[in-house]
Amino acid sequence: MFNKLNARICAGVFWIIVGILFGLGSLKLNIGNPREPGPGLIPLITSVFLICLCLLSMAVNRETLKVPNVKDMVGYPLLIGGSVILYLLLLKYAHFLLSTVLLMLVIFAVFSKGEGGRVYRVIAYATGTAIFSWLIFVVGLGIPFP
Amino acid sequence: MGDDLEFFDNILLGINVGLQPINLAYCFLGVLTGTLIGVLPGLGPSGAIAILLPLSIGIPPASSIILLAGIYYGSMYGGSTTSILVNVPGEAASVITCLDGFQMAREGRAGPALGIAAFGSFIAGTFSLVGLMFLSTPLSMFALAFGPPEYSSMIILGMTLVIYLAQGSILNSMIMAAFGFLLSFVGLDMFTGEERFTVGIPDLVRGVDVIPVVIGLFGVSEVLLSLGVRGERSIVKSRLKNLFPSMQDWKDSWKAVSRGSVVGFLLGLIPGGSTTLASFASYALEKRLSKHPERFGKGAIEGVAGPESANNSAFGGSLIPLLSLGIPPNVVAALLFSALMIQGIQPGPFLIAQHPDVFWGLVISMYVGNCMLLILNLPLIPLWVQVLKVPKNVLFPLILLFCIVGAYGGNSSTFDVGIMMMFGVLGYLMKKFRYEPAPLILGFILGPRLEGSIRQSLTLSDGSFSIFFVRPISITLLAVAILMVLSFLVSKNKIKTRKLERI
Repeated sequence: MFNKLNARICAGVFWIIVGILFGLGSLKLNIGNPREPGPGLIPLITSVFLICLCLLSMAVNRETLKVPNVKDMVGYPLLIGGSVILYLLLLKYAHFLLSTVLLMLVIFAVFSKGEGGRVYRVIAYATGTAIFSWLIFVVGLGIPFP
Repeated sequence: MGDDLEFFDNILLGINVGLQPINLAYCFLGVLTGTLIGVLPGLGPSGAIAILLPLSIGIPPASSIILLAGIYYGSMYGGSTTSILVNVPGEAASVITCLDGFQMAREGRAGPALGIAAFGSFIAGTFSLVGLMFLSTPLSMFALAFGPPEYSSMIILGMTLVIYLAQGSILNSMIMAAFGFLLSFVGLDMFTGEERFTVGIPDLVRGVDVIPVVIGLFGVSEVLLSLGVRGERSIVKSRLKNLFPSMQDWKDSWKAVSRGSVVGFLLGLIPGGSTTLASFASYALEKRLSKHPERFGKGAIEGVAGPESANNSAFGGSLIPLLSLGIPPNVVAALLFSALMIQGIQPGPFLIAQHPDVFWGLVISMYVGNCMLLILNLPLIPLWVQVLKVPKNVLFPLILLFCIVGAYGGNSSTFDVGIMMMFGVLGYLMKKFRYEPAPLILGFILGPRLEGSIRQSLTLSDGSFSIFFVRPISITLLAVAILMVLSFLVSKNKIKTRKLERI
């Protein structure tokens, strides 16, 4: 269904929502007046400007942007994004090394999709990368991971 | 006489700073890392600087800017290598080099192509540094006359130019700039200390950090984009010989190098004038002026010499508004701006006076860096060819991991990594939907300054907006911005009219 929608309209609606949210947030602040501008004045003006630009763009830009493959466009990036978020949660409970191995297993698996003999390579790359990064960042540079 | 002596004193200071062993080491590290990153397609210099920005936190300001500048112009050199040998640009500014550079490589002339790219870049880089040395101080003296209204107008003009020159839809670029401004308002208000748009999240009280945003937009988004690209690269197999251009090669290309140096420098000066624009403009100019334009695209050495000179020269030009006015004219300059701000140094008219070691140390180290690149790059080309063979499915996961560590390392905050991922996905979608990230970043970085200048101006004028129109410098800058917008509208109208007439 998304393929048939005008993707530009969807993008425009997204930015309008962003503008509305910032606009509503600005109204909760002290707007002040031009003589003594408050913290909400410039953000409010910018939000209104953003919303106007989006409406103008949606009206003027009639070109339809078709999305050929929504699953590929959204699926893998969300999978990687979700894996990173889970990794951040896991870091608090598991060691950096273990968490990183698990994360890199997912990442290498996604990037090696469609290649022969990938299981062993993915495990080897993930383990090697995790050990290498632990040596460089934790042991060498002393970055304090949780 | 006094000014001459001061100039030479500054040069000596720069030599003293730039040639310190530690700064030479940072310069070398920067150019080597930059060349490596430039050679590897996918992660451009903006992404490289974004990811390596956290490294600059713990080191002195002069060393930090030397390292990051080295990464940038190292990547310019590296990008041309992959353009010539693989027909895949290592970064955007090297796209045009593919046209003639790869053709030269196919004809067995990869050596002269690489050689003229390296020498042309060196000459152009030196030219732009001379311009930087002589123009920065007078410009910063001029900018001392600026007050809040002038700064507001200058930022508005700068953003107008960036939007005007951005690729793709101008409306989309304006939307990105507005969003960038809004993002910059998150955190504590600079005048009242009131919390803005923090939605109850303690980590947002200090604002949205620039490092995870740029790493996400330029690093993570490239990694996500690479998911959709299949196939490996094939590298030209001919032996690399005659890396030093012959007399005939110099005869054919010296004018292109000269013109490219000037074109690149001028385009680097203006906001929105990126190295990519400089290389395209130089190519178009050389083709226009050539007696045999049909040779372009088929292995014309001028088609390599001009663009490669222009893109290197543009970098030096872009440092002038950054360091003298505090206005970053493009994304890379914006990242260097962030690096200086992280170090507690405010780029602008007072930078040269208050931190002469940073400015002059950078200038001298860029001379040194250009020499290092010329000496290193040509002999190391066989090594870069081997690096090109690293498979993408190994390279990009590693880049992602470095992005995660880079975003975390700045404040030891997992929240920042979350921000990075959010902007990574956003940056990916933005590229799919043809929204440019450059206006967003510039709006984000210049937002606090613009807001501060506008509010100070209104306070000075008792709430009257006429203050922007009665001061001569301010009205001039705003008039140029308005003329730009009008010229765009007029030209768009003319195109529409012509289309209607044809019907």
